[in-house]
Amino acid sequence: MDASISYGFLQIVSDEAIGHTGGLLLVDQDAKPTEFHCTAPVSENSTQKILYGETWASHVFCDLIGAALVEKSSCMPELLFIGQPELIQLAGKVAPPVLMVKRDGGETANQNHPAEFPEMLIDGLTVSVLSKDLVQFQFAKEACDRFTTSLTLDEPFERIRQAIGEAQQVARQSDAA
Amino acid sequence: MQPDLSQVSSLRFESVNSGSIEICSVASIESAPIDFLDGSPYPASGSKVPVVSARSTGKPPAISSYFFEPQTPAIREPIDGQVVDEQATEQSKSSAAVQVADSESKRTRIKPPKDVIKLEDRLFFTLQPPLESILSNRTMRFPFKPFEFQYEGVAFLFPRYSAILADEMGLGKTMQAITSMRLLLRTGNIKRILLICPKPLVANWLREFKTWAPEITVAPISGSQVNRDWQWRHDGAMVKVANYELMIRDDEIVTNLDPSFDLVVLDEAQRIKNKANSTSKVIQQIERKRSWALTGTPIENSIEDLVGICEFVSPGTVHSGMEPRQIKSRVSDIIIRRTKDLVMKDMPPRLMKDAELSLTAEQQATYESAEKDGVIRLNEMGKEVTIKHVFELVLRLKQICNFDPATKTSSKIERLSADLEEIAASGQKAIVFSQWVDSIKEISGQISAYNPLEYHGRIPSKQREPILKEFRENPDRHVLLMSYGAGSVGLNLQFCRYVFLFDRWWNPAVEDQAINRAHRIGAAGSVTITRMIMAGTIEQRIHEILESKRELFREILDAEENSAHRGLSRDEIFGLFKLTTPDGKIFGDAA
Repeated sequence: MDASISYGFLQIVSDEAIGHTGGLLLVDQDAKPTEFHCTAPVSENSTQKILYGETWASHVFCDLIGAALVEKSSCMPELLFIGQPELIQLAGKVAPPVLMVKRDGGETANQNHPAEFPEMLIDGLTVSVLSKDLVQFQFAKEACDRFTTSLTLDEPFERIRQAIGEAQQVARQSDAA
Repeated sequence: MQPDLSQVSSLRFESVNSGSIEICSVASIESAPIDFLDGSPYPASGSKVPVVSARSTGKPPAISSYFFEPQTPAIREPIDGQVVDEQATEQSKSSAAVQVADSESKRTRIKPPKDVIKLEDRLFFTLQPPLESILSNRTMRFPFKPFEFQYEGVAFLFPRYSAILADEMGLGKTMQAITSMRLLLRTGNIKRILLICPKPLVANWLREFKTWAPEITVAPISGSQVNRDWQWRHDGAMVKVANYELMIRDDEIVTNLDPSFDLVVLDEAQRIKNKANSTSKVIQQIERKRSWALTGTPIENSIEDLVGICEFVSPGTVHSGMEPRQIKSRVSDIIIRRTKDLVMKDMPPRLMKDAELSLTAEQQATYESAEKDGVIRLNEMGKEVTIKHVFELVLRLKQICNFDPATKTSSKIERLSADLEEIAASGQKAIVFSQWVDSIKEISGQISAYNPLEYHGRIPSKQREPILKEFRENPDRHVLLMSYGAGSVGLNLQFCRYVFLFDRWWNPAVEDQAINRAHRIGAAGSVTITRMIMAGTIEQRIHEILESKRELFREILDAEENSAHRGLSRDEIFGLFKLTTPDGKIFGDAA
């Protein structure tokens, strides 16, 4: 078994007051962290909103934050997991296969593309491989099987949220000081 | 357009916990103006973006990066199957019964302590997987699934350099400490551990390590000075287990070891509550990186006890004379305390019964005479009277409450025999506590029909484990007679459902310790505690004072306890006989 396999989890935390903050957590097959990258908050102004219209969120999430974070990682993850529909457009823009994780009853991963992408069920989660390439799907499936931890694939997103919260709190304390 | 990462400047430095850290600093796009380009397609937005010529000015958000070194196990895996002993099995039974149904989804996260300031160090803890995941790893097998609160205890200890685990007796402090040590060893955060405990508990710790972390090498420090010298300096075991008494004898060695210890753990840490005593002084001088204290009674007599323990765990955090509220605030991040009521909702109940008995005629006559003579003598001493004189009288009267010295008659023994008959008939076992070995021996003689075993200070250490084993395994052994001193801490006797306090200790905390030998995780059912109190005697007066203190003991640790003295103070002892203290004031008025 390859001990160096790396999984990426990307999450954007949005706060009305602060803006959008991205976090990319890379873990090994035991779900232990190997790298973490997070951005400074990104805020939109009204001009940008008008210019990008409905695609603004996708632009910020995918182009400005997501792609930059993936690019920044020192070790390209074998798989990149996302949980937010705004990040779907990242597929194809970054090297690793992008997988959308959703709980039953949650937002549909490919709600704009029904049945477009192959899905698999892992520990009660629906995981869509955002690619039509069957070879990539097979690769993703095998890589998922090598995720040996008892955790579910949506757990690392919670860690990212907490880490971003921690970073923001430290920043606030630093500013106050 | 993709953010221009070529403009990113990087810093790389070392972090204690997280390995190399890289921080990249770039400005945010928040204030960046919007450019309108000359119609060149914008790759990120593709054809769906209506205004393809718009983009931010190429100043992407700042990215901070953190790299974590792989946590390779620093210790070898267990080769054989787990060693399971009976006591651990007790936890398994209880665990299965008590664990809540949704515990599978419970995620205990390791939170950084307040004294971890650097963001990269805080993130190291925040980004760890939940403890349940780490501990369920195939390389971290456990004999039994821990309770939720035990996971929380491990999550508390693991990141801390200064910690007091002050769980009530019987909640598994040992297991939590061992698991935390195991994690720290495996992650390479520590390599050398010293565990200091009371001498009778050394064997217990060795057994618990074997059960909960069989791959950890453990070496007891014992034997001759030459042997100990070698063990201190050259034994390569990950954990050295020493008793408190050795600290003074091995002062020179233990305070000058190189390399020093990564972690020093004190079990029954109330032993160092007096920071001025020799043992405390030696222990405080031991070089170490992390300091943990385990105690079920961080405040045994007064708030000064906690100050003494903190002097080891986190010197300077609190000091004598501070207000309880101030102390509570300062220790809030280094101390964790859970009570059974809080965490073990389904634990069998603890039934307290106060058996108020009357002295036998012989006891009554002897008692009255001794009290009258004693008080007259104390009064005659006037200002010469000291607490020692009063104490001697109290002890004398308490002994008469146990047995009439001449005839050996005793109401207590009559009651005990009656109860034991029922206990033995139902195949149950009981522990009887007394303050005096002589009383234990007298009890033993008078209840010989129930095959009593004795466990007290006059029993050599090597014989104690076999006695407990015999009591545990032989169905004909129904009673264990224990002294408070030898049997009140660290022993797991949860198969007993009856505890008798033949006489009362001065301090409710010590009595609680004794009771909790039986009423702990794995208890087979309700535990009935019978406190024997002779009506109208010194025992009843002491009982009333202690009960009022127990009610008051609230402020520092939880809602059930107060920072006031729990044992009897000097003035209260004088007050037992309505005596004044030498300076003329009467404080206690329980008589």
